[in-house]
Amino acid sequence: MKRLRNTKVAILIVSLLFSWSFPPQIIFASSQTQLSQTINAGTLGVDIVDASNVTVGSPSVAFSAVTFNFDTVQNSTGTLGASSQKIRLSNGRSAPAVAWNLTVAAASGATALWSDGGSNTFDFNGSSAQGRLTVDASVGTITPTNSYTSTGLSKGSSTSFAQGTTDSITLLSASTSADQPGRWDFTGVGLTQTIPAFQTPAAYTLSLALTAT
Amino acid sequence: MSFSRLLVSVVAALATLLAALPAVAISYGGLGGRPAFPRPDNPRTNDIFVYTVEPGQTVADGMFVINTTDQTKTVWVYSADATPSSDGGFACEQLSASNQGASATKKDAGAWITLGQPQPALEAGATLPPEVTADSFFTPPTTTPTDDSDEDGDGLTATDEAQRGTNPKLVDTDGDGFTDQQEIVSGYDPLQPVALTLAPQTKILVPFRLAVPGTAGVGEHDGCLLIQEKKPPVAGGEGVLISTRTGLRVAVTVPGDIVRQLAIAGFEVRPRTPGGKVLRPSVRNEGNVSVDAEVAVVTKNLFGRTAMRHGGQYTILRGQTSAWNFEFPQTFWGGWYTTALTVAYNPDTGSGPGANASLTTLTGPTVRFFLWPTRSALIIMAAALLLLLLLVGLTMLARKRRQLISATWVRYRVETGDTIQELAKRWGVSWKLLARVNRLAAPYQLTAGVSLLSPPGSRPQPPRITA
Repeated sequence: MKRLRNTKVAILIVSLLFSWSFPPQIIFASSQTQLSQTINAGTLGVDIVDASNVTVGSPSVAFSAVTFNFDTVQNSTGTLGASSQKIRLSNGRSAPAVAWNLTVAAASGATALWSDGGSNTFDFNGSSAQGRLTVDASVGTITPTNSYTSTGLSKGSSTSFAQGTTDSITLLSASTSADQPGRWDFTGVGLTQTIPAFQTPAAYTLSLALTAT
Repeated sequence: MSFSRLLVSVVAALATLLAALPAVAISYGGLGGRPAFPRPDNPRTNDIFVYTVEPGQTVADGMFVINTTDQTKTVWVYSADATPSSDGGFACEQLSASNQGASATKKDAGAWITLGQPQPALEAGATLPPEVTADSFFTPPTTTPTDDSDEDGDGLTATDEAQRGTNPKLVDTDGDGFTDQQEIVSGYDPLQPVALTLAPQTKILVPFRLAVPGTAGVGEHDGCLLIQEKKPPVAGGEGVLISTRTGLRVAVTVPGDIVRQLAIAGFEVRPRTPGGKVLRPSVRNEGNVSVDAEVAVVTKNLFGRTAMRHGGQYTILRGQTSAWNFEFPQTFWGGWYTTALTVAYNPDTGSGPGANASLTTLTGPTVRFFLWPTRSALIIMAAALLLLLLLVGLTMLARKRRQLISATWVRYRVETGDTIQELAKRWGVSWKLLARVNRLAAPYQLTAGVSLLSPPGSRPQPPRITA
């Protein structure tokens, strides 16, 4: 009987020593809690951001200047998606993955014109002599952000606007194998505009809309 | 208290604190939209609107316009017809063409959508109570006696407003800056575009009705619901001014003689800048509804090993030919490659976007192409070739010398006191050559009486004279 009591005392002492030496097990066992967190599905969207990833207030593309010419159609070039104005495509949607497209079109539709704000205008979707804007997405660079990849993304071809035939041009298309969620920057899309001969010298603008669908 | 016990106490306190916190909801930042009432039987309806509607019928639905940025955003919300983009992609008509104006009118599914009154803003992560359905926001039209009152003073009577769906208490129902009457007189839609202002991390439900006209043809009709940030116009400037918007596809199928059929239109391999190839398959939709196609381009090297796979599931719109540019980058060693195209799709005419079924597979042409090696690889290859030529030359030279030796060298009997160095010096050859030809191993000691091969012209040494 005495031996049994001694054994019990020994076990108690060992238990106390153990609990003193390894307190973490005891503390965590008493506070086991399941943390609950929900990540809501986001949306598909496109934005223009600067090098610091801040949305650009009034994004624009400057074209190379050309000098008035009586006889020759000239080319003026620009870059859509410069490093200071990156095209950022964000797909925060949840599974199952859905294919998406990023397209560019004149914001005023197929009847839009380059305009100096007054009476001087010329086409962006006419013949080469009337004025034609060519968008070359194939020379662009896709840069995945975070740890995303470019898998499943396909760049558009070099295409010219043509009224009634090509009113919208594909910059990027994604299959269901693209990362979802995912986010990519697209830079370096080539723009080439033919300037009609004897076009009145002025500063011209054209509004383009990028659409993610 | 020891440091370890203090650390454990702090960790335990933090764990307790975290356990006491409520669940946290995180959303991806951005401005966009989602269907408010997705159908459980079709996961695709989480992201786009999919309907099968008989001509003359109407369905009610809703779209959440979501702002998960940290800034207040003012947006236009409007419907538009779909329009094909280059390479057959899906795109939407512009805002200017979506107001049903005289110059550019909506004709298809975009015109069938009537936006309802936007609902009060919710937190971005909030969910709708289960009793709220798409029909909750529309009351069936009732026959009321003619009411000529004009409560909002916009020039439209209460009866006119009821017929047109405008709000009899708002001068400008859609908030686009023009009164309802101004828009109607000008031939524009008084219900679109709807102007919304969303605080950060909020969303607004915009209910809508889709009324398919009785004359709508069989097959799929596509439209868009678009969200476009409203920005002040930019004065002056030059070049291209950029705006951005996001659209949700609205796919409406009018039942009837549905045809789901694809055909491979082509498969090209084009040069790519800077180096490599662009693999460009194109697939034609010969049916009257859009088809989700599993496009697979598998490229193998000369040894049959898969070098790269491209593709995935793409939507090919009714009547369109879709093409994709898959980039096969320059490989280090270059070489011959074979690329093959397959397209799988569901031909079941009873299925719509997002449905699963057994697939029909089309096999396209197989194209073989050659890639030049990179400059570094060419340098390595040239160096290896030179080395190989050098080795061959040396081997041939060695073989020639061996043949010469066996044909011309004569036997010499070793005498007492001969050493290999001395014999080599006497015969004017390298001692190493002598050792190699006679297969002598170190320490190259010669035994008298042994026969050695010696160069032609070597003569036995005259007898030594010793004192």
